[in-house]
Amino acid sequence: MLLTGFTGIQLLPAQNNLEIKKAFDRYGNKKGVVMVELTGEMLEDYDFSFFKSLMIREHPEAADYIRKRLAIDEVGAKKVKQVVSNGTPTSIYLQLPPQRKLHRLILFNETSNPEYLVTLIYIETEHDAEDVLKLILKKNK
Amino acid sequence: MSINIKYKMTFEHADRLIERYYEGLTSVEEERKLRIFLSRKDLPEKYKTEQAIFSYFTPAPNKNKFDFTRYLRRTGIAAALLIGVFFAHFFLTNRAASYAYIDGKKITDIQEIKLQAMVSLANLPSEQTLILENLQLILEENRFEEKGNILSTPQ
Repeated sequence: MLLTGFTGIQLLPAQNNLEIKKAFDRYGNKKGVVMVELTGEMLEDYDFSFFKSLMIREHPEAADYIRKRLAIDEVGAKKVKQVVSNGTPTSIYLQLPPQRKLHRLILFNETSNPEYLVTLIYIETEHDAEDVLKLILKKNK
Repeated sequence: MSINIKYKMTFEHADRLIERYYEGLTSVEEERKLRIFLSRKDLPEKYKTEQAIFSYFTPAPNKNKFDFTRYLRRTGIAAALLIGVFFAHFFLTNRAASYAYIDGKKITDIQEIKLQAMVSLANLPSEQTLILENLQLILEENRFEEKGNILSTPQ
């Protein structure tokens, strides 16, 4: 039991120490929201070790809440990329310092075209975070 | 110095005691002697029934005696069980940890979960879009500045 308990703790995603966890907890089970969590062999075909995403429709307050959480997580970030529109960041890409040899990425986007949609993604990867980010963004051509 | 002489019960004596036993007349000491006698392995067939009765009531061997092989066997089984539980926990939690929630409803269909993951990734603007958006913002800011300069230029 001790062994499983200890291993369980070791297997917990590093996302648990981040502020964005509060956003996943707050909105994950709400109506108009899609939350996805992928771990283990489900990610064999991808370059990720852990994947969690949140898509929130027609809820601008959620975007503000997430931006506030991101502002706290941004403090320890290695690299920050963002698009600011009218003084408000609408796209934020954070590369966080690795934890337990895993690189961590937080991706946020707010769009109102064709519908109002907020997307928050948290990724853990063994690969270089910059390469993974490039790969994700290239796919979205 | 003491000399222990082991008393070996005769068949006649045993027969008498068995008879008394069935009549319910034996003392505790007599039953103890009978139990010792019936635990012998060289007894004739006729004592089989009594042997079965007495072996049923024979107290369990002393548990305080440390049996190393039994200890090893038991700890081995316990360790194997623990490892089994660990691996089952590891693989089951790994599988169970992948999920999706759509409008508050839990989805466990692998294809649907993967599809939703792909959709969320597709929602992100491409690198080109990011660059273009940033350039557009810079251009807009410059345009504002130019307008401001025109308005503030003395004629």
